[in-house]
Parts: sequence; C-alpha cells; structure tokens
Amino acid sequence: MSTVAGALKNAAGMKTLEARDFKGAALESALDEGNAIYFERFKMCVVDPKEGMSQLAMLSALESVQQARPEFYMFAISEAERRYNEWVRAGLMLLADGAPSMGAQALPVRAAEMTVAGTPIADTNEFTWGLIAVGASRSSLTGRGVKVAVLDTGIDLQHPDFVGRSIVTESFIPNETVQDKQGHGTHTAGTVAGPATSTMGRRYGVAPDVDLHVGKVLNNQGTGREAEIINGINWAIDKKCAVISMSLGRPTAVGEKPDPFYEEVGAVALREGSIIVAAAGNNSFRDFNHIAPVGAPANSPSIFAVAAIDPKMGVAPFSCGGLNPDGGEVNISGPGTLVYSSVPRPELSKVLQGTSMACPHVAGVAALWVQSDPALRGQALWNKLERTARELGIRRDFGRGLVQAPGMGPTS
Amino acid sequence: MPEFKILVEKSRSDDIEALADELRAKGLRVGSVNPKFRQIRGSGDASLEAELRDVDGVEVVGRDDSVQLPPLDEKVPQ
Repeated sequence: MSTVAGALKNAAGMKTLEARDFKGAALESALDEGNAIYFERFKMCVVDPKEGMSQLAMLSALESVQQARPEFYMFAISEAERRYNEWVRAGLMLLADGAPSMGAQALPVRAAEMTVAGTPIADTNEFTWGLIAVGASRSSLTGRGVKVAVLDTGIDLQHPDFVGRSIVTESFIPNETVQDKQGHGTHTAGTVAGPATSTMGRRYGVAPDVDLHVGKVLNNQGTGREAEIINGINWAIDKKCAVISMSLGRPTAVGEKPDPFYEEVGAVALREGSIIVAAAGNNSFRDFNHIAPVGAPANSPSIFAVAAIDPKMGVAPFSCGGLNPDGGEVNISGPGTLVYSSVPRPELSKVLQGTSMACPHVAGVAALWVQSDPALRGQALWNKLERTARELGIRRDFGRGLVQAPGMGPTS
Repeated sequence: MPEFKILVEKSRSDDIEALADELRAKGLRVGSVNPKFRQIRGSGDASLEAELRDVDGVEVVGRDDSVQLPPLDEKVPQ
C-alpha cells in the first residue's frame, strides 16, 4: 500500500486510509473528506477525484496504478447487437483477405499488408497498421497541394521528420510559440502529414505531402480556452484549409444538446469549403458496458465526429458512442489504438491511443480525397467520406465505418 | 471574472459592431468580435449574464469553456 499511498499523496494530495479501519457510513464520510480508501484484499483504491476526468487521467498515468476508471451506472448492450458486430467484423476480415482492390487509383495489394481473417492488422517495417487499414499504404495519393490545419498543442519544428519542411504556423496562445512542449500536437500532426520516408523507420503519415498548417490552440500544459480554439478555426478557414483536424474536446452528459456556438462555426466552415474533423471523445469504458456520449465540439451536427477502432476492427473500449440526438452521433471511425507517430525531441516517437489518434487518420484521408478531386470541399467532402467508409457495425459505435482512401472502400 | 460568449441573431450579424457597443454599455469588457461566426466574447460580472440575454439581437449567452488534455501517456486515452 505504501507505494500507492505515496503516489496518491504526491500526485493528488490524497491521504490513503485502510478500508478495514472503517465500518458502514464512516467509509463514505472519509471519501467525502478527500481521502483515498485502500482495499488490501483487492489491491484497489476508491477515491473521489474532485477535479473529475482530468484527475482520473492523471491517476491512470501513475506508475503504480494499473487502471483508473470511474464508478458508473451500467446498461446492457444486447446479445444480438454484440453478435451482429462480431459477424460483420469477421466478414470484413475475410473480404479484406481475399477481395481484389477496387478503383482506378488502387495499387496492387501486397501480401505483407493484408490481414489474416480474425487476426489484428499489425505495423510492418514500412507502414503503421493505421495506414494499412485506411488504405493510405496502397494509395498513390499523398495529399499534395491540399491545405490541412491541425489545431492542437503545436509541433516540434526541429523534429528530424519535420525540420526544414515548409509548415504554416500560428500560435493563438499568449506568450507561447507554436513549438510543441506537450507532445500531443506533434503526434496528431505526424499522423496527418508525417513524411513518406521517416528518419525513424516506418511511415506513419497518412498524407505526407499536404500543405501543413499548424495552429497552436492548446498551451504547453495541454489546456485551451474555447476563444482560442475558435480563433484557430477562423484562421484555418481564412487560410482556405480544406480540412481542419481537432483532436480535442470535453465530455458531455447524456441528453446534452450541441453547443450552438460550435454549431455556427462548423456550419460556416462547411459553407466556406472547410470540414472540421473532431475526436469523438474517450469517456467510455466498454469493457464494463459503459458508453459515454460523443463529446463537444464533435457532437455538433456540422462537425465530423470520429470514433476509434483497434487493429481487430473493433470499437476501442474508450471510444464515445452516438447516444445523444440532434447531432451527437459518430460519423466515421479511424485507427485509434497502438498508434505510432512523432513526438517532440528527444523521445521522437511514441505509441498512443485515443480518438485523438483516430481523428488525424480521417483528416489525412480527407486530404487524399481532395487531391483526387478538388471539387470535394465542405459538405461534398463530408458526403464522400461517409459514402466510401467500410462498414464495421452499428452506427452508434462506428458511424458509417472505417474511413477509406480513394479507391479503397465501397464505390459511391 | 467570468468570460462570456454571445451568439448574435442573424438579423443583427451585419451590424455586430454596433451590438458589441450596446453590450459594452451594459458593462461587458469586449475581447473579440467575430462577424463570420456571429460571436462576441468578453468578460464581466457574473450578474451581467441575465442582462446580456435581454439585449435585442442577442440569441444565446454562454460561459466560455475550456478543454484539458490528459497526460501524454500510452496508458491514457488521448
């Protein structure tokens, strides 16, 4: 217990007490007072994180913590629904294993890039599994000439995979340059636009030749005000970016309606030829049958919400679902677990998970579509992405399915 | 001091600067005016919120929100 107690004290200022020392309601009172209660038999602590999900994430990151999750109300996914999902996934694996590639721009599918039915897609020496899954690894398109904005914590401009590259940058954070000190932005920008030939090894950028625009809207602590995010979107629209990737958001409640401010922003962006692609959020604990609704701003009807899937084509356990009406649906899915991409020096690369990682896969594929047909802007691009996605299962979890590069998915 | 966001009715979007002046007169310290998104942002006393709602041409008044990323850790969904 002493290791956990020390970690909780240092990280959250919590005092850890032994559960066996309490009886009945006294335990609840101790929790209310901000203490952590330790159950020796289960090697488990119960805490009441006063700062909510952000504090929960911080606890998850502690070395002595295997998993931190909220207590929650359970509701069941029906057995029929579960079996349907498994059936669809198994069928898709079979199709992917044997189907000929479709479309004029598809290059021959290489055996090394194929998945064996029922087994996960894995990174190869050449490509990440995400690039293989969305078809970028087999596409001749690279996003050349297409402007894509990544609004995040900035980028490490001196990273060996980005140094010397022409990148349009702007910081919307007072007294901070676009240089990324947190790492999230370098990872998401890497997934969109990492180079065709990486200095580190396998390719991880979906659209390596896009005209990359990086707007810093989250500070070096990973925090951002809505005003700064809106300024970043405004800048990206003014720059005529076809795609705006936003791996950010906040949780929403069941029944919560979309924010009218973001809704207006998304609608204007679409009218002006920019699609805003946003992470659906990570507040589900599907291993325990808890599904959280799509977060904001992804829950706006005019903003394209991206869920995360794993290498077995299943929904990621944390990925939010389309529970709320009036726009709170998932639109599409992207690779969102075991995602290898760039991070700032000296670490250079890191494997991360989250809808934040799925979102830039979709943004990169969207750029490939614009390169294939420059008329695909705004709503037309939205429709094309949905119509060409590879169906994976129920729309609550996957939306229209896994995003696909031109020529790789169903024709429309 | 709370940060407010104001969505302006479409009928007033062309003279959003004039509406911003009206909100200033009510006590809002206007930080930004965005005609493209029909939005005005600023700060003021908490008691100002109800007053802003009553101004002709104001569609929605809300509090400016923020987002926070989790620690950049492979165990934590991002």
